Amino acid sequence: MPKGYLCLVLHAHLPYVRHPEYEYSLEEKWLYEAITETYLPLIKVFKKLIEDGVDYRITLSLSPTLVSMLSDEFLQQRYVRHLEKLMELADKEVYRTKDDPTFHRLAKMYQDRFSESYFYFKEQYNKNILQAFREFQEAGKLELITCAATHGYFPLIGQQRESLYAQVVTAVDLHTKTFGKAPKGFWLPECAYNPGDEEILRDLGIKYFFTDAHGLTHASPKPKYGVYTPILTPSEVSVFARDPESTKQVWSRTEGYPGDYYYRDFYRDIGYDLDFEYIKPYIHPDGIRIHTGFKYYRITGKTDHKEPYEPDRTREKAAEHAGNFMFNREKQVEWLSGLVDPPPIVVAPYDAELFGHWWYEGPRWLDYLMRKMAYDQDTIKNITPSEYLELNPRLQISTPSASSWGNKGYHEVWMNRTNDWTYPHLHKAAEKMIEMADRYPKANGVLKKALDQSARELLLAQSSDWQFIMNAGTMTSYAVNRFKDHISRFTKLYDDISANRIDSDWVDRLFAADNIFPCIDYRIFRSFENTALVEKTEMEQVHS
Amino acid sequence: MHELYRENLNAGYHLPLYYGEDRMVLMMRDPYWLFSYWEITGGTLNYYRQNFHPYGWDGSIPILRIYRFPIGLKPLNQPELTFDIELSHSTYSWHINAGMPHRTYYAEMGRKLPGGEFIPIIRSNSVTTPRDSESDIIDEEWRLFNLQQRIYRRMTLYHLSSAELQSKGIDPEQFSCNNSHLKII
Repeated sequence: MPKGYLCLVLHAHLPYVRHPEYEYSLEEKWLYEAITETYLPLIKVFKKLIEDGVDYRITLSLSPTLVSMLSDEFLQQRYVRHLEKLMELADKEVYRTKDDPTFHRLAKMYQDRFSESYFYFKEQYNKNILQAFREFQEAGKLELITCAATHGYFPLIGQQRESLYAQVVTAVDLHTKTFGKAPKGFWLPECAYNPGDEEILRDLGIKYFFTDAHGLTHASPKPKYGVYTPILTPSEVSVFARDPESTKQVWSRTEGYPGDYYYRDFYRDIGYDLDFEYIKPYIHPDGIRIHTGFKYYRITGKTDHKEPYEPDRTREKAAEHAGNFMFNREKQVEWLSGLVDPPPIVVAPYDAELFGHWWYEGPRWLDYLMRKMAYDQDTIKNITPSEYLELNPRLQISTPSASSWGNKGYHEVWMNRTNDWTYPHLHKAAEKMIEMADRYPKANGVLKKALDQSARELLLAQSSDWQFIMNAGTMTSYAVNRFKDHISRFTKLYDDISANRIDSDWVDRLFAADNIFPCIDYRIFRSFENTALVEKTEMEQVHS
Repeated sequence: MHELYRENLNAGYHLPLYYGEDRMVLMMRDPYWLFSYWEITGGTLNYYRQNFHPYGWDGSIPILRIYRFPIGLKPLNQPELTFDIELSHSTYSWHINAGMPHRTYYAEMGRKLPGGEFIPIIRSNSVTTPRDSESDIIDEEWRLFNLQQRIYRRMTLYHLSSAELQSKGIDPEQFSCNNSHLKII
């Protein structure tokens, strides 16, 4: 019998970026890089663990924008093209480095990796890697959960509760259709929580969500076991909180594992280093140097002088760090088990893209950790939140405190002088959307098409990514333009619908560009007082 | 030009400059800070100008007035504190240093007449700032014994790993605690 549990949560998310109007889109590369460096490597790890008979558990949140992009045929096709280019460059690199054994070996490493990825993506999963996650869920190893439809930041768009409902219902619907099972858990975007938001989650069948540590340590009444057991809100949704210690060991910029000097350096890339004429076909068509994914150096230290990357040495490092992480969790759980009556649970959530994209060796670390936990000790066991709730159903009733996992623990990252101007537009657009949904309870034809597109434009405008990028200060103009575009398009739709002058062709073009959630029904935005009964009757009809 | 270029899709529309409606929204940023934005239409301003012209409206100063209440009281009860922020005429939003966690607030935007009188024009919704500390409310059934208080002490030492704590000989169980301020429910 283990003394406690580790709940490892990965949150995979990217904003909805899809630009068929351009031959090349720098921002679409976010998805391609994440597929190559994070999602496919994680799939390979999860698959191999199952083949080797390792019993593991990981909770994976897949945001609806990411799910939509991964199942979009246009983006799948473009990814194949992207990967083919990478393979072409890999061949050139293998040839270019033929007289230098150190770099030749690294070039070959990338060549192997990319052709393996190509096989997995194109042959094994027929360009839709979501089915891999579904298989791992069916094998009982992954618990798949969802997140808000477009990663809307709940406390800041919750001015209209209908917006939160629309974000959750759209997410649950897409998740259920994609993975064949309704999600039990919900990843609140940025762990941003405001008391009362859980009522909407409960109404849509969600059993649990996560907050940052202070969401629970500041909860009221004071949770007896801190963050080491979940609590139950008065609306009967369970809340798990992030453990600060395991967070720091991985996340910390200075002391976290990813900063080890032997790990691969993210910033040194042949896109910047090599001769312009040679690298030109693989960077931005305007000649702007960008990351290609070929990185040959290790972090080395706080210096510009970088030593070549040593894959064998990093394998040892990853094993060492996995061992260290497990050892600390054992010690932690041993200590906690003396104080916490039910078995303590340590919740360790991370952005999935940390693994592989930012921390190249992350997937390998995860692989080692799962193996070591299965074979090298008995103190602590991996668990999913659902399994834990079955094991320990009697929870303390308490209400978490408003919080987020952003810098300083609250909402400032998403609401400061760089991005606060977005909220008057977001709230007003939501108000107008609700008004339209009430005005047309049963629209058909062109009107319904325009109303559905209005709902899409609003949801896309609500992505917290735009405020996040504005705050970060890089690629800001892309985020500003995207926000302005969705609000402008929404405003025109509203004006046209209200004046009864819908341009059907233009709405079709909008849908061709902003095609997320093809099955959306604008009535998800009906005001709460106008929906309750209607919806209930319709739901009953659906179920009967 | 590609039919899906943004200019085509935006069809001449831009981000609206204003919405032509009186509104004021107050939002919570963190336990100490609030954010408010507002729009006051020309019609509303004219109404006030006409009514208060004799009292020096044209020389009045825009004022953001914040009302603070203890949690649990209805916002229209007597506030425990009110404070003003003087703004310029061209300001339509403000980050407010409210300074006190675990309180309910609302705001009013108005004008201060030369005589000192505050004329409110528009009022916001109310918001509550979260606590910035552990709750002093304890559920009797889930009462924390001294032992469990140590879990909270340990969490404040998260910069040290469990293994480090033990190797340095720091026993997290040594931390004493004072729970005399707790309220039992």
